[in-house]
Amino acid sequence: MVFVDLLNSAFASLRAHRLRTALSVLGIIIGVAAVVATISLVSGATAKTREQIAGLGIRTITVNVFPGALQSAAAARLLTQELTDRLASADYVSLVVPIASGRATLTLAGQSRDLSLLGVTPEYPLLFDNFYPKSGRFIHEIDAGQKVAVLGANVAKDLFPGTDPIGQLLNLEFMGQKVAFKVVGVMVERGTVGNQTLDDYVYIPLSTLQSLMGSRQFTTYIAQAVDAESVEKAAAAIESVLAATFASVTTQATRSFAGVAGAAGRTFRLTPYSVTVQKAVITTYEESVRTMTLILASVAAISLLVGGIGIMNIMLVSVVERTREIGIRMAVGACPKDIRNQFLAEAVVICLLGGLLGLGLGWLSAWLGSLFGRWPFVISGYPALLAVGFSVAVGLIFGLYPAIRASRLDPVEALRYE
Amino acid sequence: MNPLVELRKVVKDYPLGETVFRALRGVDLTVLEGEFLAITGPSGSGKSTLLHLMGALHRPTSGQVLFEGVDLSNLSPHELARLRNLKIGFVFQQFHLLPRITAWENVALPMVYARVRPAERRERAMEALARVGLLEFARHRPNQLSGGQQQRVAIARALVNNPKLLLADEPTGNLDTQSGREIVELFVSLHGEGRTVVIVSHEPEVAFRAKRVVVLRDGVIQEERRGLC
Repeated sequence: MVFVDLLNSAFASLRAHRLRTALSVLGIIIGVAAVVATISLVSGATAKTREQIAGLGIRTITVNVFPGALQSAAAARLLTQELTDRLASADYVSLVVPIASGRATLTLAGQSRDLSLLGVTPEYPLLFDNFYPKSGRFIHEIDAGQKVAVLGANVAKDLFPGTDPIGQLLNLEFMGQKVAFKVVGVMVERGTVGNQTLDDYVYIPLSTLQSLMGSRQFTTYIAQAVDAESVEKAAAAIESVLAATFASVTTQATRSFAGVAGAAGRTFRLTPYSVTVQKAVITTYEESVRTMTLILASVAAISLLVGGIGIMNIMLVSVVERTREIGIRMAVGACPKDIRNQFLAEAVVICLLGGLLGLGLGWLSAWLGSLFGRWPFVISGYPALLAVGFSVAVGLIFGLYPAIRASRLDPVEALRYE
Repeated sequence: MNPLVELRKVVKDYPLGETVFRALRGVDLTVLEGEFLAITGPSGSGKSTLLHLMGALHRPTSGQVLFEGVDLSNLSPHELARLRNLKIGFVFQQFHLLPRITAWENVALPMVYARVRPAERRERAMEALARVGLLEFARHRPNQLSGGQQQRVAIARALVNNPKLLLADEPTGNLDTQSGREIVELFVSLHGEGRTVVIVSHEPEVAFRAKRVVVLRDGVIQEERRGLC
């Protein structure tokens, strides 16, 4: 039988059992759609994550110092520009910026909300790629001690929907004090990776926040490594600077601060400070995405397997039903290979139909998912090839056994079959 | 005349539960080229088995079947299929047409397996249908045809690859007398064109028109006689 005859005979027999064919095709559609949608969704979500990771400071290293654990007043007095400069002089470190954070309550139109304040210096945006004011300006040297604020994208959207926040006053209550901040800028949107975000903060001058808190100590520093490859070395260099600085108190430290820095990053224990590498957080996040992909893909693959078993089942029924037809074909000269190919062609046609329709359905679901999850809809050739390849493979694998069974029938017995 | 099919000491057993049923018990028979042979005998005598062996649909349990001098036991399933396809035409009692395709497509079926080009298939199928007088029914499906017409489609199918040997197993068994007579006349005229014809039948009409009659009983040839005409 030549190729055209195989296709003709496959389509003819599939047309003869429309419902059965439709149901078998559906089984493959679901399997292929699941695979395609998973791949497409994950690559879309990953593309978004990558873009954010690039900007969220893969080079950043967070240093926390715990003043309460410092048992010498001399050491505590170092927590100023002094330590900032010492950290900045460490090898592989290009920039160190002290920050402080706090929470404030805002009463707006009779409703009160919690806001996260981040006290920063003008260099803060340099830690990230593409982090700049969308309108207005960022915190400047001249703002030191002033009550000015720059809003993260989400805060601006949340507090001032549809209006320009610049020039507006934020009436905040912070540690029992009522303070009014003037909005001078709004930052571009940077998105969220894991629990890392730049969009949810109200940025104010570090000196302003410190005077409100009544403290002159810097307890959190963000350092930046010269490049992504040097992050580990920079972290080690920072650690040795810290160790040298606090040598007198390290051995006296009795408490572990492991829990304070959070479990996600790398924490150096039994010291009055912690060094957290942002890269490690991102790596952990990427690993969890990879695991998730694997789980989703396995589920999708299982549904394709179930579809394949459906094909095998229906092909076995079809072989039995058409025993006499097989006998007739053998009597007029079909060789076992011709019979095998005929049934194989049917299984492959079912699977190919299911594969193409499943590809369409998969892309549609991925597109809807991307709308819902607000990540880019990534469409590439390779899920398409995979879907078609997968479905042909399923057809061949699950169609082979019934086809071989058909080809091994005895012609005389097949002709007698009622 | 040259022998076309030779059977030598052919035995055929069928498994029957735990025992075996011996359908043929050592048959020697030679069919010459251009012969018109009828095989008769009561049901269960082994007629159909004999025909299936000649048609390369079965292999004997022991003994030899030679087609044009070639021992069929030396051929692979693929080669046997090719032999059935090109050198043998089968006609069955139940017509055995494929129900979902038209008359001409049924006739063209052997050419599909002979790898004949589609355009040529149609042309030759139409010629074969014309030969059996059914050209105007080419686009009918088997269930739109009478029994006699279906059998003629089956004969056209058997003829389409121009085989050396035509084998018919009770071709009139499912037909009324008139249709049966027409089918027998068709075989007679095909034989007149020089084809070798072997018909299994227990109807005296068929035996009457054959040149040579073999009577089978309990798996052995009981008598052999020349036809009456």
